[in-house]
Amino acid sequence: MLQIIIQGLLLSGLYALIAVGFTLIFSVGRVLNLAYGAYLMIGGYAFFFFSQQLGLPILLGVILAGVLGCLAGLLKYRLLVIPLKGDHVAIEISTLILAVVIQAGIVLLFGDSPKVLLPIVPGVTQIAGASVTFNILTATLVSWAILISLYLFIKKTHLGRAMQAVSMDKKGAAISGVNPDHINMLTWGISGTLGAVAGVFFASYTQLSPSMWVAPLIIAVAVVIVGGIGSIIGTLIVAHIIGFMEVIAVAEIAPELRGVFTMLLIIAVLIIRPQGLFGREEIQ
Amino acid sequence: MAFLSIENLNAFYGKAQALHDVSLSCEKGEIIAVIGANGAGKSTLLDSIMGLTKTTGTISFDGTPLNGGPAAAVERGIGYGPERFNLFPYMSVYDNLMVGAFTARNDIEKNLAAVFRLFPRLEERQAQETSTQSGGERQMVSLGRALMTSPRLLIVDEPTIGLAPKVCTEIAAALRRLRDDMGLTILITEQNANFAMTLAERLYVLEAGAVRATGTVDELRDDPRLLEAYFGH
Amino acid sequence: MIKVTATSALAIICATMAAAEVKVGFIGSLSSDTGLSTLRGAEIAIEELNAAGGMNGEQIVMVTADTSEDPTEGVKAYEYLAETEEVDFIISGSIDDVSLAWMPRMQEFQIPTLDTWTSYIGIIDMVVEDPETMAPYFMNIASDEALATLYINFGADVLKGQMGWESTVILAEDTAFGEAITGLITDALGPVAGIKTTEIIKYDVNTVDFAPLFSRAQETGADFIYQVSTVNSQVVSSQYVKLQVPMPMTGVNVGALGLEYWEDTGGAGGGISTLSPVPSVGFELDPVSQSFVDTYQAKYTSRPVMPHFNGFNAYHGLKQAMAAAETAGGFGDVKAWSAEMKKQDLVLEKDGKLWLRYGFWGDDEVEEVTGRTYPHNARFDLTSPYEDAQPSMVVVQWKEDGSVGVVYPFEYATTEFTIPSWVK
Repeated sequence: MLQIIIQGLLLSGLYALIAVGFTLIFSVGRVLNLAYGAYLMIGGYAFFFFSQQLGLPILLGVILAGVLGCLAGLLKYRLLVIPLKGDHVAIEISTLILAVVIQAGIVLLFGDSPKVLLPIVPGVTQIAGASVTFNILTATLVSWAILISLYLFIKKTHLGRAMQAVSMDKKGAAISGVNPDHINMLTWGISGTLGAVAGVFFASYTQLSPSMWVAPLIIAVAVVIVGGIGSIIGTLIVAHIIGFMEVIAVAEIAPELRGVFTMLLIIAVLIIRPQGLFGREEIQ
Repeated sequence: MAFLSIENLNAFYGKAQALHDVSLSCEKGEIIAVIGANGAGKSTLLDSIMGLTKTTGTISFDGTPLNGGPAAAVERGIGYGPERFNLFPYMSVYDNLMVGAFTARNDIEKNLAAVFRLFPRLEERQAQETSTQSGGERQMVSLGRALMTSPRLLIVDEPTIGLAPKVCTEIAAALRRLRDDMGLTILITEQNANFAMTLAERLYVLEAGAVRATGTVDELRDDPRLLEAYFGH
Repeated sequence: MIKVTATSALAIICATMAAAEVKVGFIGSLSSDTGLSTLRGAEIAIEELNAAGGMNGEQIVMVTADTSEDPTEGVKAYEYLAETEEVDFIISGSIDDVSLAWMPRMQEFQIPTLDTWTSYIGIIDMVVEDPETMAPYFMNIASDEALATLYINFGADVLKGQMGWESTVILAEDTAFGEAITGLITDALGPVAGIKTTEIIKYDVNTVDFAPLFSRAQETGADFIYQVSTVNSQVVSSQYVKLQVPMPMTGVNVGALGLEYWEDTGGAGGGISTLSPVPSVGFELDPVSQSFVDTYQAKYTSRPVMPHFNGFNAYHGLKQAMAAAETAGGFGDVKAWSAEMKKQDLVLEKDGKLWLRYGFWGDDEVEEVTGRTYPHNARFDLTSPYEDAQPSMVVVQWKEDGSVGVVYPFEYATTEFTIPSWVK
């Protein structure tokens, strides 16, 4: 029991970190950024390149990964979202294509053999019969720290409030002196950074591979559908629902059905509460 | 040159032209009202001042042309209370007001105190989400948010539409106080000509996107053109 | 990539020349270690053959078609080689699903084709059922049934015999391959090796966190974990190492088959053991194969630094295909070529002993242990002391110091099977 709680908390913290950048773009920019998983891939590979291949300090590796993710987000906004303004289907299709292109780029640069990252913090300990690596413990703590800072940023700062404002009423934000384009751009940058940092931890959990963008994208989409638009707390709670469901499915029920329970949850929520468990009614 | 001066303004939505050669001016400290029926172009006119529509012609404010979009208009000192309020429904009253302070962060304390003096109800309910508020309260938040931008010119689109008579009076009093106590210049639009005439000093009559008549309240009180525009026949 | 471009450029130059030539088509991934092993093995064989005068005096050229390890791309790649390039012979480094995808095209175009990586027994069954249509097809790696059969002996001799383990919990991926291997293993592990299966845990290949799975495996109280993993297999093994799961684990881990495994896992691979087709990593080489590796390492600096087993298969197999064509008068008469290909038999000795054999089973020849035929499949031996051919597989183990060696069969062993230091 305790073991499931520990493992559930660890996995859920990672899932929350993966999903939050995606939620942000979906809430503020109203774009289903299907290339979101590519940020994780960029972050993971950047960290691998800087810290494992070049041997730079780990913290610097994480920062550089975040910077690259931020750049990727900004470029995507400038080169894709602005030219396709308003056409959501076109943006979604082009982001999906972009993810495939980035995948091809990764194959060119790093080959398509999967790679395992060195633990960011080495070591392992046993807690209540569960093996817990310091690496994953760190990932979870960092994930919480990032989520709390992001929450405070969104709720308590002018920029954060402006982001919320743009997500709820673009015209209202504009006539308050907020430039929605700037805020969107900022959001894409933050989302890219969060995705890339999540990628470092996700990769240190699993592995680097050119197809690694798909799994986290599915997690993020699941969290957004189940949680609904616009709430960091909602994202956090749903990440825990999905994380715990998964750990319980794997430990107690049928591990091969790991993903099936998540899918069932998505379908159930879509039928019973289309706006998501913590989502708002559609804003007009 | 007038404080706000609009010359030969044409505004477009796609290919449709919503305003035709509209000219309007407004002196510092004046309250003026643009009246007209639904679809006369009143909201378009205010949106155009804020830089929210595609226009030709010139709009200048305090001697220099306005052409940098809504954020620039706000920074120049124009506060806007749009007809549908465009509030942030899932944010608290306080946070809505704070978004208004995005460009005027040095005046937050002063402006917030002024807003709460004007609408004490907002201070009591500052933690409430605006999606749960009444129309009158939302209008107060909308005006409050506009005031948080430290405006010198306040433009308000149909401040009384859909509001109970008692609330209308409250809003009118607030607008008058803003001009009298704080020296704001105010431009409103109205369908309700009677209300407009109790509040404003000068009127513009807008019909089908063009100015049909203009003059002081006294000049226009019995003008058939006003009646025609107002009653739509 | 530079290499690939050079090859393509060479192909274009050669294609514009009027001189008679033999055209070989490579089908496989141009970016995976698997695909590159076959490609490079074939490139070296072609260089050596051309230096020695080519095939019946004709120079051999190669064109490539990338499958990206995707079945649909695989079909397109085969069609490209057959229709656009009109190649004489195809050498394949395709993975199972991709080979299965282009197989109907092979049957249609009837181009002599040699598979060097896939070991899927279903393809050999096709040869059994329809020898006519499958005549141009050869597979010069022992099929998976042979791999699994010999692996059971490892269970009896080492896991039971040496370690004294009597029960296992199977941790298998939820794929067709996982299912097949799990079936083969559970059918035989009990009766032949005397190892009881306590539970079969199937997992989703996209599982992020294996900690709950390992906890569950530990709760079964079994003596060791039997792992079956081909997709994302490094995730399972590296989490096993990082979590220091206090329970031994062995089995099938495709990720551990290349020499880059240590580097790719950042060292989180110590203690992992897997069955591997031969020649595996850590496998002692005969002089001929060693000289191939020397040439390979002098020629290529990018990964894989050491060709995988299919690189050897491609090197020897391509030479055999050309030799068969020389006697059969080219590749045009597929039946004649196929008959000559079956006769190819290369015995490589080490210290005066048969070490590796590149030959094929006779069409009606019954293998004694499994009691079935393996037409067009590489010859293998399932019984010690392996005097007819090399064993169908070996078990290799990565040690915690990053070294790797063969632990089974004993005749080929370079090191002993051990359990990781953190397992008591």
